[in-house]
Amino acid sequence: MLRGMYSATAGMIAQQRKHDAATNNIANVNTPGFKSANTVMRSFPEMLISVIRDGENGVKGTIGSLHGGVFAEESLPLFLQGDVTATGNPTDLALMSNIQVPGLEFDDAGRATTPQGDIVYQPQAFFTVAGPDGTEAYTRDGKFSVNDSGEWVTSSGYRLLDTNGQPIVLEGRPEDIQFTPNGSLFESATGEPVLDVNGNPVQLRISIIDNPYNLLRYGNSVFVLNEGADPARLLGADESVQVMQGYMERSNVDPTAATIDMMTAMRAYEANQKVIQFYDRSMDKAVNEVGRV
Amino acid sequence: MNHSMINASVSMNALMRKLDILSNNMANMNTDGFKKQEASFEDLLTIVKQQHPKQQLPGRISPAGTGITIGSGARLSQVQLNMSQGTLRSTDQPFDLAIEGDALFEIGLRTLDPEGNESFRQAWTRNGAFQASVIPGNESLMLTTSDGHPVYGVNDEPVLVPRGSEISVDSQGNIWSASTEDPAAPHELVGQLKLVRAIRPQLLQTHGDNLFVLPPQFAAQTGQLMEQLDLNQFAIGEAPVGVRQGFLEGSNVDLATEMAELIQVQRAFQLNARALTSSDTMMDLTNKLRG
Repeated sequence: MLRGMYSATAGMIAQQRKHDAATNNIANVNTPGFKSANTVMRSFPEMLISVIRDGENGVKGTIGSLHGGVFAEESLPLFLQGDVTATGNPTDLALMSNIQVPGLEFDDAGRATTPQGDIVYQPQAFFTVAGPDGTEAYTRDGKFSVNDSGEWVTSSGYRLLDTNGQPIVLEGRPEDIQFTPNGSLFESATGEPVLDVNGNPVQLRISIIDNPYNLLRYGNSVFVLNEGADPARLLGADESVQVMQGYMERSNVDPTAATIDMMTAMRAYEANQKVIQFYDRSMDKAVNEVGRV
Repeated sequence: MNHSMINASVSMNALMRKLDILSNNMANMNTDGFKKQEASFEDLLTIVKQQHPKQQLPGRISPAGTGITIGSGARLSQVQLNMSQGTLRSTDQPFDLAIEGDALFEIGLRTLDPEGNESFRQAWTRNGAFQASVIPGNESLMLTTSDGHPVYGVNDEPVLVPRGSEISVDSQGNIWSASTEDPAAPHELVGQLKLVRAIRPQLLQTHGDNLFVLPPQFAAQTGQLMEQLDLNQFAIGEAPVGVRQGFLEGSNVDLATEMAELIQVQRAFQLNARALTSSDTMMDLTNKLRG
């Protein structure tokens, strides 16, 4: 019947989702290591419309194709580097990541086009923590603390892992430990590397995800890898990733952009509401006025 | 239903609590030995909303079948003590002691059980505004905090000082008394202040009255978590920690930092309030669909 009514309803729902995402960005303007989310909208799959009783009475064929509406398809994190600020707290770590791939030039959103015309994404570095159910989880939130057993944990209690996948355990005070830019630990008093139980130097497990869009946002500041995605790899020797102790990475949400997103979504929601009201008025006319003598 | 509203209200709640912490810091800007608290935020659980199978189309950037993720705002996490050094201020009072470096005075927190029996619980402080208190039935005076809690010496006993004597404290925390009647008499060592270092400062809880305590579940590990410092082993001038007599340590609150944080919190609060208004308008629009 009146297909546009359903399109407008779908539009309202989609704008609501977009508004939710913008509000969540605003809610996290002060969350360390938070990556702002972008909602991607897509139209419903096309439908082919034909005339009723196609072919009879010499009336021919199809009218054309039509999209039945719109939906919020995915919510993409923007992996842009957040601002790094000094906190002076020895348990705060920040990751500066700007990994380059030879032959490719990434734009501000971390995208590049290969000579073959494929779109590829900039690899991103993350701290590796033992996440929910003991699986690996990845985070840029460097606000760690040291619990009573000496393990470095995130605010939610996920333990920070070393290159062997073991939790990093601290013997003394956090002040006694320093990090090199590649995440190796050494004693600040002696300059000697920190050794684990097997006598090997301890290094932070910095995971590189080649396609960061395989990460799913889990909440509690961590991401998990989607099932079946390429596993994370360890940081290579000459990749431009830097660990900074006593600093933290702020949220990369741009409050202005988030506010504008929110206002746009709200007005688009309003516009869709108006469209529904116009359809309602048309139906009102159809029901109550057509055929009135 | 309305995630926008939930997001905004949850975050406004978290921002309110951060504001409370900031205002407490600012209120204690002139409290001796006060250590400021810091808090940060964390995003909350994310819901994955699956798309209808017919809408799982090829060509998306994130993996197929992962739907759309919806966040639920931010919460306040990790309220931490900042144990950095405060500025020292000269008072010229013999019982005013300040610590330079990372250490705490140990005191006995006096508590009374319902039967009226006294018991003492270990507590720590950076506020060295001590006084000599009279104890009934004893010739000596006891070194206590301004609230009357005894200050412990290295032997885990309250420090007692003789009546009518002049007290001097050296940088290692040794307390010497000199008789006021006979200036020529040699100084007598009456005790040494117990100084401890918090190995896990994040576990310390503030107890009011400028005291820190360990939560009861860590009471058994007090020895490991609070390391007693032996300052006698260091040569003069090489110790990482020193006691200064006649000085008090001011709070480590820096007004400029707190104000900057305050402005940030206020703006974030405004933004979230705007988001709340906006989602309210959207609900209003829904209500007026049939208008």
